[in-house]
Amino acid sequence: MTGRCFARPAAVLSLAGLLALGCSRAPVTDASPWVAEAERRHALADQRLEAGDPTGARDALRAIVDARVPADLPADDRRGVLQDTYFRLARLDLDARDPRAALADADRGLALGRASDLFVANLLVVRGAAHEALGAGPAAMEDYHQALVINDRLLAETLGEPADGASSGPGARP
Amino acid sequence: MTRLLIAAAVLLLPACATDAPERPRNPESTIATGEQLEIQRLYQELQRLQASLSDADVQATAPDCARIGQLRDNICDLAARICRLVRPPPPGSTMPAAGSWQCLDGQLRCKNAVERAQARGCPKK
Repeated sequence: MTGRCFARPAAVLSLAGLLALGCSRAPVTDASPWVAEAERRHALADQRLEAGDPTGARDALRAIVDARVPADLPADDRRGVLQDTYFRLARLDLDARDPRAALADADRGLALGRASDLFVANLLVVRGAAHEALGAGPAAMEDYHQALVINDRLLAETLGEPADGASSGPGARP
Repeated sequence: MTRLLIAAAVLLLPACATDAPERPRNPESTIATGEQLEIQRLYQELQRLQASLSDADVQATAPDCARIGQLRDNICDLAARICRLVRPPPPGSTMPAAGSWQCLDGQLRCKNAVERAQARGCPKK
């Protein structure tokens, strides 16, 4: 079980949002073409997957993480694009029944930063699935739980609840 | 906050009654007294509260159910995954089962998420 696609549309929208932000910034930097190219490669990966060609999809995605990232790209934009790409690569690894590769890709993505957003939550879910596939239940539960807490925090934000308004758990952790 | 709104409304009422002929003012009245400053502060507070109420109205009338539903489903799906992985402790052990805390926490958060989404009128899964 490779895990369902967690909020993939949201991630794509975020990528589109980064593009829009890139377009609205002045002065225009070298970053926008890089983001646009990442978007194009994600679309290409979608096409390759639809055509039943996961290897082609992987190549398209791998090109994003292998490319040089413009130095003037805002850190959060860089993190978002790369983490979304590592998430997709890790899912492809799981689909190919290679949980160790999935673990490595998820770790690379998480090493880029641990914000409380869907990019990080998605990586935690896919890493949890990799742990699960490797028989490491406690590690899987830990990753799933961290992802769950992020989703709960995002839900509170979406509902306009106060910062501490997210539902709390059963109390202090033992 | 209600007290503040009432106070501000009461203080604003005289300001609305501007039809009366303007009386000559004493020189002292051109200087902002503590009371006038308080009125000004309350008026600004009232404007701020009105603005936040408008924001709340917008949020209340148009909840982003697609996103809310997605996040709710993520929470409940993850809770189910965690609980599925909980294994009973070895016989004779006094320790709780590994992951039982995360399972319980996840179930509670799932229940809360469902209730909060329902409270906003978002359709069930």
